[in-house]
Order: sequence, then structure tokens, then C-alpha cells
Amino acid sequence: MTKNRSQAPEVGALQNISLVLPEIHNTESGLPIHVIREVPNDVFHVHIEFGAGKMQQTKPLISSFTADLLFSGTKDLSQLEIQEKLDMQGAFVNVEAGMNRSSLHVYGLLNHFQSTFEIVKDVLENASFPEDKFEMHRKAALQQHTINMEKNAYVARREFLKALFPNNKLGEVAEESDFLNIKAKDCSEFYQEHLSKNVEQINIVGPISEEHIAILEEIFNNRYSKTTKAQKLDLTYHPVQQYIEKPKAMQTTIRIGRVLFTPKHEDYFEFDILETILGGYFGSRLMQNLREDKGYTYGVGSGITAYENTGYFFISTEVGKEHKDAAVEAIKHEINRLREEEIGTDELDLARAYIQGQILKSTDGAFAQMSQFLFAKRFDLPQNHLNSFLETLNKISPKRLQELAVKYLDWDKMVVVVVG
Amino acid sequence: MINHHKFTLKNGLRVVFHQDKTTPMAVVNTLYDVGARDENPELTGLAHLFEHLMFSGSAHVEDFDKALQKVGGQSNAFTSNDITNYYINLPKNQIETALWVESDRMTQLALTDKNLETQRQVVIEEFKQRYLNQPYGDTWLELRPVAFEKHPYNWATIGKNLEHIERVTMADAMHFYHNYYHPNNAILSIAGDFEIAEIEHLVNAWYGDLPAGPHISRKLIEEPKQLEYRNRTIVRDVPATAFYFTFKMGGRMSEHYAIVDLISDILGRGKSSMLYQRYFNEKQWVSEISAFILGSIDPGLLVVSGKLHDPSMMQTLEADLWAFMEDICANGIEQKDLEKVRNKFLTSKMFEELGLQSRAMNLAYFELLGDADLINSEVLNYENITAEQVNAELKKVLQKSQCSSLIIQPESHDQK
Repeated sequence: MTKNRSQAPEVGALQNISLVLPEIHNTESGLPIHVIREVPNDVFHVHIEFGAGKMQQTKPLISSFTADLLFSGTKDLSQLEIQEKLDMQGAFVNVEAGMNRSSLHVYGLLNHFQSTFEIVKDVLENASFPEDKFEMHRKAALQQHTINMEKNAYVARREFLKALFPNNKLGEVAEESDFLNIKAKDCSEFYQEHLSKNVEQINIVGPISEEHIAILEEIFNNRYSKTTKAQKLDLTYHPVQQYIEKPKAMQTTIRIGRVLFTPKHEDYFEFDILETILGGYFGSRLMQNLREDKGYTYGVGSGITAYENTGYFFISTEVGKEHKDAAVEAIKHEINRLREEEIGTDELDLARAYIQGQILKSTDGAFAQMSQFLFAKRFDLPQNHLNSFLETLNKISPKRLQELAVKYLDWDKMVVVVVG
Repeated sequence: MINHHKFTLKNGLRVVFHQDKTTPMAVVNTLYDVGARDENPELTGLAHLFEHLMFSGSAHVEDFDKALQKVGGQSNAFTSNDITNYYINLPKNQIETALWVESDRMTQLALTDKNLETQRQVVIEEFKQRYLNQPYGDTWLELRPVAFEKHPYNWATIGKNLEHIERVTMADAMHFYHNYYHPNNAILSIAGDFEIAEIEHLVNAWYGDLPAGPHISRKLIEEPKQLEYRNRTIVRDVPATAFYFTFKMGGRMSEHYAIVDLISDILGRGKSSMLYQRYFNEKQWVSEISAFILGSIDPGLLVVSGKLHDPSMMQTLEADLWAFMEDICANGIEQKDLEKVRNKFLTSKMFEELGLQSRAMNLAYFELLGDADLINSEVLNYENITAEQVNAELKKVLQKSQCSSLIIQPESHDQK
């Protein structure tokens, strides 16, 4: 039996999302350990969150250098010895410094769980930040910074953040002098104060047993410290427009955006829908206009970046240099069109269906479900917030979307950074 | 163990189905057995430009992406020197929409002049963004012709230059389509919560009536055996010296492939690797160094690459590197070195397999190589490798006469 190609297949009904919540182990000290075991392979991902990041550093780069160098040596072991031990277990570690917290990710094979965490334990107790490793890292990081400064997109992102957050640490970017001024002592102090203790929570994906959890409890129980409330920030900014010319560039990076709010704000999820329509997927207005109609760019997109303290909306693209002014005009045109005209129902239905699919995908599998859980926890949202989001998605009207565009997408509130 | 069920339609379409009862999503992956290596050397970049054109709509599907978005799906694709691969992620109960749009564009693409002109511009911007407007962006445009003299791996997937992209005509595009896009040049793989009978029924219904296309026999020029070391040094507006030493190795199905893969890890994967220890840690000449393999189907390359702190150290580094390579070959590696990289390989492999899309994609790729079941036997290949095999292979691969290198020096250094 062949199908009638002229007719689209019947659209299936919306599937219910079934969010698996992690088991929560409350250890003696109160340290929460979240566990999702439903993974088919005998591997584990243990994610340890520390309550300090860029916000808590006293000078630029300290939190990220501390993260990069955490495994560079202990009292008794050299970096090479630590690394070889981890390799023998088939384990990978990755330490990253975020805005309000730092994270240690440990990936490995279940049958080597215990031996892997013996190494992690030693590092957390005895990290020594050796002077020679620190110098090597400084040199390499400075060179990488110099190379990055040759990339329009990197320069644009820095200028954009500086303009959006002139009065707080979200807008703090590292300069060459910061690479020269930072000391190994800064890192060991940051580690002593924040990473050797101050564990906020541990999140585990993998088919682990009670014995594995006991191993973690033993290491981390006495390192627990309750989540501190995010600092209040001075969020005033000026909607500056800035062009940094690079005479030899073939392309121009454009970043446009404004300070907005956290996911806790009452308009967040509705604005998320509006933002998706503007630039959040392939069928979005910006993508259709700048790429599929005019061929100015390989890609253009928008998004919302959320922190506990605030959030911002951005549009980002790299266009042929000869199109830079036309591209900014086209972006302005699309923003104003959302403010001036109601969205057609076909377009809204399309975005709805697309977002529904994305929501389903965002709950598919143990790793995705853990992320959803942590997102809700981090922003103090109810754990069923995705169901509320689906309701909002079904309910939202073209009129409401236009209201939100008028309220939040005022061109005069936008920071515009153009580099290239 | 990744379960799979294979069947072939009368028109030659090969189908691999992987059942996963735990996911609400489905993946429909379509691999076409055509890549940049199949292009005319005078019109390179066409396979990749054509990948963009495949999203133009087809006889019964006006807007490819929109049709998928309407049911919560999303699609993308990539082109390599060997293959062109398209994938769709969507809720499982919408799978027919994926089969509808994917089967329709397999033989009835509806390409307009406007599509061609727009995607030509998009690809030109992609060319600039990724290869021309980045420090070191043109590395592979420059390196491929040094490493390969005859084989079509001597150009990059994006194409040799912008001029080739500018020259593609509608006739070129349609000729390419008719040659390479048809059921008997494709592998369809589907992953999700379905039953075998259901998939067989659906695939037959949507693809069964598509006409088979011409059989294409691939006659690529073989790369002649390299006889001596080749080097090219170029000067660019970059802040630091970058170096790339490439060594000839066997293709994806060569019996030594897995061994060379592990050799590259021993040399340059991570902070305990030999090259990192010697040049980052001990000598402190480099700000980064690593080794990897290209993973191509035809004989390819093991690559050692890095960046120097001081441009004037290039000769010193190179002399030391050759001496070090000789040492490694003479002394061999220890069992411990092998265990380390093998364990890391196993962990990476197991994590990679957790993704539905990577399972679907890998099944199609292994089926192209000869048998989808290679996905399960591959790990065994790596597990069986001995230190003796590695030591024997080291001597064959790390020969200076088999090496081609590219050095990128900063302009300011040149002026001194």
C-alpha cells in the first residue's frame, strides 16, 4: 500500500510529558544528593555543585583559573600522577566556574566508581595549586585570550556584556592585565574558602547503588553548606549603540539585547514564546528574513540567558560585512513588526507545535530529566512547571504576544554592539 | 549491545531499525553515500551546497522545515568528505510526517532559482564565518593539498575556494541530485519506540514506490605512496605559531584503524599524554598540543597539532619532535599507556551510545561501511589490541617520510 503524498500525514495527538523526578537522599548533614538511575549503560555522571562562582571572586579570572587548576596537583601527587590515575579508571573530570556557582563533573565507569572517587577526594582535601603549573596555565590562557580577541564574535560578546551590566560582576570581563596580575595564591584562597567546603548539592545520573551513595556521603557530608541567596545587583544600564571597526574583517558580528528578568518573573515563559517566534528556531522571523530570504548570514538566533539574580535577552549573528547596516535594519524591522502587528494564527500554531516538540525532547532521558529538575530547583519554580508552560503555550493569544513585544522589545532599550 | 533489524526494499533502499522503548521521541536518519570526495575537482563544495538545497521543498511538500515544525519536529544535516547525513528528531507519534517529507525529497526535490541563489549566499557566508574570518580558519584549506596530492581528500568539504561556490549552476545541482540522490544510494535508519512490523509497513508505504536510480561506481584516484617528507609554511595575521604534522594511516575499515586511533590518544589525548607531558609540561614550548585521527573511509591522517609560545622556537620544536618520535618507536609503549587510553575510549563510547540520535546515525554509518552490526563489535576490536600490536604499528605510522606538515607563522614574526 502506498501513501497519498499530496496530503500530509495526520498530526498525532500531543503526548503527555512524563517527568521522572530524581530520588532525593538527605544526608546527615542535610546535603541533598539527587539520583536518577534509569540509564542503560554502566556509567555514571556525578555533578558536584559548589556555592561560589564569578560573583564571589575578588578579581577577574580567579574562579575560572581555580576551576582549571583544581586537578593540577595535591600535597602528595603531581598533576601527571592524578591524571594517570583518573585515566586508568577511564574517568573524565571537568571543573567549570559559573556565575553563582562552580561545578565538578565526574564521568566514569560504574565498576571503577570507588577508585575514581578516592582520587577526587584527595584533590578536594589536598589541592595545592603548584606555582609551576599555575604559570604554565597563565601563559597558555593569555595566548588563548589573545587569539580570541582576534575573533569578532568574542569581542562582541565582551562589549555586549560590559554594556548590559556596567555596574555589577555580570559585566566583568578579563583584560590582559588581569592575566598578568592573578597569583597562584588567589586560586588557593578561593579553593580554601569555597571549593574545599561549600558543596551545595550533588546530582547523579547512572545506575548506582546505596554503596556508591555511601562513598559520596563519606566524602562530602562535612562539606555541605546551604545555598546562599543570590546577591541583589545594580542592574541599571544605558542602551548604548557601539561599532568597533575591524578594517580587514570579511564579516561583522551583531549582538543586540537588553536586561530582562529571571525565570521566576511572571512574564518569563510568555516572553520565551515571543522570543522563539522572533529568533528561537529555524522557522523564526529572523532566520527566515536574514538567512532564507536575503542570504546575509549562515545563521541568526535569539535567546534568553538566565541567572538567579537577573537575565538578559539577546540576538546574535555574523553577516557579510557589506550587509551589516541592512542586517541591523532588518532586525529592527522584525522587532517593530512584532510590536505593530498581531501574529497570525498559522504562525502562532507553528511555533506552538515546535515548542511542544522541544518540551517533549527536553524531558527525554535521564540526563534531560535531571536538567529539568535542577532548572526548576535553581529558579525556585514548581517541579511541574513544564505542564504550566504547556498550558500557557496553548492559551497565549496574538494580542498578548503583541503586548509583550510592546512592553519588552522597545528598540530604544536595546544595547547594540557591532564588530567587524 | 545496540539492537537493530535490517531490511532492503526492492528499489535498493537499505533500512536499519533500532528499538528503544524508553523514549517518547523518534529519530529518522538518512545517509547518502556521497561526499566531497565524489566532486569534480573543478567544482568543489557542491556536495555541501547541495545539502543546503535539500531543504528547499519537494513535489508534495512545499516547505520542508515547516512541515516538521508543525508536528514538533526539527531537522538538520552535515556533509563530510565521505558522506552526507540528514536527521530528524520528532515526537514518536509523528513519525509518518518525517517519512513523508524525507521520502518526497529523495526523488522529487523542487528546486527554484531563488533557492539556489539564496543558499549560495548562505554558504558563502558560512565559508567566510568558519574558514576565512577566524584566526587559523583556513588551516584545512591549506593543509589538505599538502597531505594529499591526488586523492580528492585534497580539498575541504566547504570547497577549495569561494569561486567554485559562485560558479555552481542549476544544471550542475540537478545533475548531482540525479546521480546521487535515490533509494539505492541511501541508508535510512530509524530509532524509537516502534515494532519491527510497524516500521517495515511504514517504510514500504512511503519509500516502496520510489524509483531506483543509476548505479554509481566510485572510481577515486588513489593517493600514491608518499616517498618523502612534505612541508609548507605560510604567514597569516595570527597571534601565535600553529603547527600541524599529519601522518598517513589506513582507512576506516583497515585492520589497523583502531590501533592507530589509540596511538593518537597515547600521543596526544589529555594531560597525561606523551606530547603534552614533553612539550607543555617539561619543555614548556607550547600553549596547547594534541593528536587525533580524521576517521575517514579512505586512507587518512593522524594529526599532531599545537601552538607555540615563541615563534622562533619552531625549528627547535620540529627537530626535537622527530627525535622524540624516533625514541617512541624504538622504545615502544608500556601496557599501562595502552590501558589508560583504552579505558577512556570505553567511557566515551558508552556515553556516546546514550543518545538516540547518535545510535541512529552510527547504525547508518556502520551499515555503509558494510554491516550495522559493526557498531557492537567495534568495542571488541579495541579491547583486543595488545601493546605489541601498538609498538609494531607505531614504527609504520610515525615515519617522517609519511608526514606532511603545515606551519602557520604570524606576520609580525616574519617582519623581524
